[in-house]
Amino acid sequence: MNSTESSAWTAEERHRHVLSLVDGVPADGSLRGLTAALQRVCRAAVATLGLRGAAVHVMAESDAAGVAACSDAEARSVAELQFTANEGPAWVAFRTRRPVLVPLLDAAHDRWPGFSSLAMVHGVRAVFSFPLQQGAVSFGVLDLYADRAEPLDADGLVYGAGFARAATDLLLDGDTVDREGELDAGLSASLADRAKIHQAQGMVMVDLRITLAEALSRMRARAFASDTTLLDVADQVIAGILTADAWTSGDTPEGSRS
Amino acid sequence: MIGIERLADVFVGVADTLVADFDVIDFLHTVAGHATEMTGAAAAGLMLSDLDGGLHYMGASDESARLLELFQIQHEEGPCLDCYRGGQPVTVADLTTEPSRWPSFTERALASGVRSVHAFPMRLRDQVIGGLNVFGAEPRPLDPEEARVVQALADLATIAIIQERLIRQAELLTEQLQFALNSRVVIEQAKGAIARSLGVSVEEAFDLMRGHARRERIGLTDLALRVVQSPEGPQLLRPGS
Repeated sequence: MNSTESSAWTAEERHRHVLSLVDGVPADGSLRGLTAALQRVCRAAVATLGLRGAAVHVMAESDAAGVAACSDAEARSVAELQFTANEGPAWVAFRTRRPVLVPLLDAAHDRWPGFSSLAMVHGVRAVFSFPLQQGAVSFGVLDLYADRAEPLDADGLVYGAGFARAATDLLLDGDTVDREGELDAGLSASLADRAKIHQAQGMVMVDLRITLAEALSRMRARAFASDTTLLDVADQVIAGILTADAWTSGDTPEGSRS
Repeated sequence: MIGIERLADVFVGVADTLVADFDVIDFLHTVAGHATEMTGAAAAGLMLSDLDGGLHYMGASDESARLLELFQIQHEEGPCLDCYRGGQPVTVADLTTEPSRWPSFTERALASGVRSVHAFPMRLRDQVIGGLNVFGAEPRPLDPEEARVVQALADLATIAIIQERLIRQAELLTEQLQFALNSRVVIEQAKGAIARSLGVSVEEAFDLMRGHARRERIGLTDLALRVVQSPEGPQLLRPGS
């Protein structure tokens, strides 16, 4: 990236440049339309800024959200960790509608104890979350994951915001939700992992005769305690490995309390 | 031409569209009013294009301007349409000197007491979204300074409208996403709860829910919400209940 050149550009020139960067990278052959385009945004951000990974979340609320696209499978795991931990920079960026820049993830341990330690296991040292928004309305977040604990430079910030703008335009222009209120098929498929977690949540509610919210808390606690992801826990619930008996056997801190 | 201080007020007012109760129609009427004030013209009107490129009358400072705008749209002829199509200002100091350029429009305009027309494109970069048109009762050219000021007004109004369209689009997307994501979540939760409660697969659970929703004539999402109210909720779907 040539910083002297790009900082002299007008906003319009920079926008065109960002779009040309997005056009210049391929998406997985299995993806089409909206999700393929969003993946190209993630990959262009990774290539341009020398990142470890990038992911686009779509969000309505923190529980009604999902990963719409990612640069690669590892980035998806890191993005999903925020759902496992129920915390993280993407949540804050969505709520406050401002970029959340965390150049030293290690130092953010007090702020997000769960997310920061889990993300560091994946080799992430810095996270930069840019809200996808128009005016006062936000509907997602672009997460950038770096393996070096250092801030984005001025150009990096401009590019980060530029890739977030590109993702925003895609979601606004694309057929994200059709006239019948159905999500784009690719988007729906991308959110399938989250669907499993919610199915398992309903199962745990019945198994333990608790509320839905409690069920999700128990699953989260379980994931933490056993050093797995929420999706792993969900898979065990759905497969019938984690049933009422297993939950109450007291092998998690949450479980031992009840 | 209006004074510099008044001009500053007008521009600040036009730029200030990020208010909660922004109303496009009201805004465009205000812009038309400003255009007449700036030029001392008799009337002004605005046209905007829809997504398919069709032009629509949007606002005018008075009835005569409104009729002239509508006339051009209906007859597909006139300076404002040429301005919109070309994306460049079209200015006619005296309509009587060019009777054959837009014959029916000119006849109509002269009959309603309009002698001069100055049409300005509402344009942002390559995108022309409409036109701002100033009608004068006297034959009179606009001096370059007036033309610059009116074009600046049209540019500001354009930005405001595009901004408003984007915000509207974003609000719609947020609403749709909220509904799609939320209903998806609750349906998955209900599938899981039913599967466990009734000892069926999640696919069978979904079929049971759909069947029940159809029989009871309620929405799938509403039914799912009821199912997940409590651990006993799935009993609703027990056969025979």
